[in-house]
Amino acid sequence: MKKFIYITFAFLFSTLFSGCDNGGDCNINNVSYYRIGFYNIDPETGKEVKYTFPETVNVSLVVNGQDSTIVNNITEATDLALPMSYTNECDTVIIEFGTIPDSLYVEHTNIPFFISMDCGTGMYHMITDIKQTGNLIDSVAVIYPQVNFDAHENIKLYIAQ
Amino acid sequence: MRTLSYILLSSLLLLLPANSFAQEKNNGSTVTGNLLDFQGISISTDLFGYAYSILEDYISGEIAIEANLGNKYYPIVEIGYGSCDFTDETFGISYKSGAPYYRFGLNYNFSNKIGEAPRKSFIYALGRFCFTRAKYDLSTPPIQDPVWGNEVSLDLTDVNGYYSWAEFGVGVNVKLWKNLRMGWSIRYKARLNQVTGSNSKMWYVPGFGNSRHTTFGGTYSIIYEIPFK
Repeated sequence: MKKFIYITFAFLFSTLFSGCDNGGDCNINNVSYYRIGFYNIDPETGKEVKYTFPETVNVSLVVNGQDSTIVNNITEATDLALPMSYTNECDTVIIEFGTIPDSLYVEHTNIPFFISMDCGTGMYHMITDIKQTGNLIDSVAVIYPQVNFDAHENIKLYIAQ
Repeated sequence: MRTLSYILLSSLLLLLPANSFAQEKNNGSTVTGNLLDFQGISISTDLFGYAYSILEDYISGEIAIEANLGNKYYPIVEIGYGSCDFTDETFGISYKSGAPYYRFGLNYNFSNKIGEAPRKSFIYALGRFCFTRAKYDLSTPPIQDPVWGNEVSLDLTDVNGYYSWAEFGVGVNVKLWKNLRMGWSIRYKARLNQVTGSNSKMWYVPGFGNSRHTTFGGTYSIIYEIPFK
């Protein structure tokens, strides 16, 4: 019986050092980003492979009618993480692959979300559709429509051969 | 400062039953060796929930009904009501809620053997399944889009939430006078499930405290044993 009491107290004592998380999912600036991965199809195997773009990549967002550069001259790009508008239902993204521009039209819903008193309120999104201009982009697929603080890849962007 | 208040309050509560332990004696009555030998029912109320309003921005009160089986096992039902009306100074977020909560479980008396006469005081282990269904109101100041510059605010009313959790812990039960007893318990609480709204999740959970995976809690109860035999 005493052994049982000791075990119980030992369990409770150990929980003092194990539990009591703050329950929050605090994120810097409470801004959620959607992630785009570059892919192409390996001609030999016919399977998709991660694509590293050999030239520089620039990315602009159309903000209130003006182009706003958000990614400038990155090299060996394999993916992008971009913010979404809190109020627009469609964001226009201009991606320049070297000298070839392509546009993405990302349709989404906006979900303001109370996280906790410690973390405040953040903005989540749901991607509902995506279109592209097809200059260098062959096709595009939404693989994870929820945009939140999790680091999921949301969109696969297939580069033409 | 708040941590110090917790420690002081807890220390005071812990000291109270100490004298009673020093005078512990069996009361002379006996029971049979039957596990399901019904010994009576007691009702109690938790005072810690009221005192908690000094330390936090919420208050709760509860009553419990407990059966005594062979002075060893004590099936118990605890029903309470918790409420919160809080505005955060950092973010300016307001949260208001009030709802009943329910706990079901068992106390296991370490000190007594089955068939042994009841003691004036005993230590017990406890286990509970707990849940609440609560509606809450929430309003936040506008959040600004860092790129587009627009603002969005969130004003929600009567959002439905559900929260269930388990509690494990130990407690002490001490006879004060005639059928009046008192007791305290320390509880480790672990969330089992929660239902979140489309724009929020519960922040204050009646009976649990602030929403998180795990937390600690305590009770300090006045107990009245209803004479049965």
